Amino acid sequence: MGVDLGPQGQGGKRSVDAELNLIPFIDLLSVCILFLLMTAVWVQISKMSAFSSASGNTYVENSEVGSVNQGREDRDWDVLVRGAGVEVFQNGQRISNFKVEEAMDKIDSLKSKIKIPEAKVVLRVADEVAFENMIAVLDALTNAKIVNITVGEI
Amino acid sequence: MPIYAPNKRINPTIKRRGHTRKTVFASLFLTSMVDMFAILVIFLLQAFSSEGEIIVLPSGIELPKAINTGTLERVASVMISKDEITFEGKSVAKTKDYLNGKQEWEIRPLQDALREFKQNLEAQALANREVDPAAAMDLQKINISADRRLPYEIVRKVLNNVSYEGFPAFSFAVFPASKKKDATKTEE
Repeated sequence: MGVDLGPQGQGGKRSVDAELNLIPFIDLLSVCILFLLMTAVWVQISKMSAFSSASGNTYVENSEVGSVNQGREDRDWDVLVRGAGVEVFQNGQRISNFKVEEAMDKIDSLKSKIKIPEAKVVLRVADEVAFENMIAVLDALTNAKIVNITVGEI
Repeated sequence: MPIYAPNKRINPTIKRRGHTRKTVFASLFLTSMVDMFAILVIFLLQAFSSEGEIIVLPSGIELPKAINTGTLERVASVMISKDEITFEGKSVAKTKDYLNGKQEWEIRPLQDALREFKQNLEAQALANREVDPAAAMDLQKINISADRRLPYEIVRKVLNNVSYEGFPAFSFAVFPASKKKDATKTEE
């Protein structure tokens, strides 16, 4: 079976039209569709990266959110996530507290206080906080171009 | 332009022959069909990902959403659902056994599975004489997929175990969200 794609050349001129075999063409399209349908990835999953510690060997005894009594030289910010909201500490001083829903805007407004992107931020989360709230704060920190984020280090 | 009532026949290509029985054959519009196939091929080609499916999410895990995300890598994977903790597709522990409000973080079956996996990876790397720093870094990476509604307690315990067993660089699997506020939206 074939299909003529128009009139053949006139006046001795050579035709530029080609004849297309529809059956193999449809077969090819069908095979393409089947292959693409079978290999399609319908659920797109991405990642958010963090580290457990700079050394790569130490582990966390616990991540209970306690008070930050003094400034720590090994970090620029301590970000504490509790059920009631988020607190940001710099040199032992609380510089902001806000709700998880406001994290994106608040952290963006605070980022001028630290050197981006080399600033080191430690994120500590209380046990009762939902995982999605922890990810929301991590997302806000990443949005502020902070890349050195350690999770759970005391 | 006058408006006419439509014919009773749904498809004019299915013709009736007088008072005889309805034919079982229908003519096919090849042009339309080839157009449709071509559109399907283009759509599927655009959605095609050479990476394939890196994580197959089991039922019971609903990932959180985030805006600032990266591309997930093909490394070892720990999944935490409401019911169980799985490592590389194998169930290693029941979630409820470790959701007890205690500070003890050790999940022995997970540690054993992680240690065995790490030893195998290192043995393979040694056998292949891999000295590439990027390949060495891959030995320390792990993907963690957790249900968004779970309390952080269980995630913390899993994180402690994976970093204790030598996987300090972890990636949380998330669904990419648009730039709207829905990424920080909590449980409705």
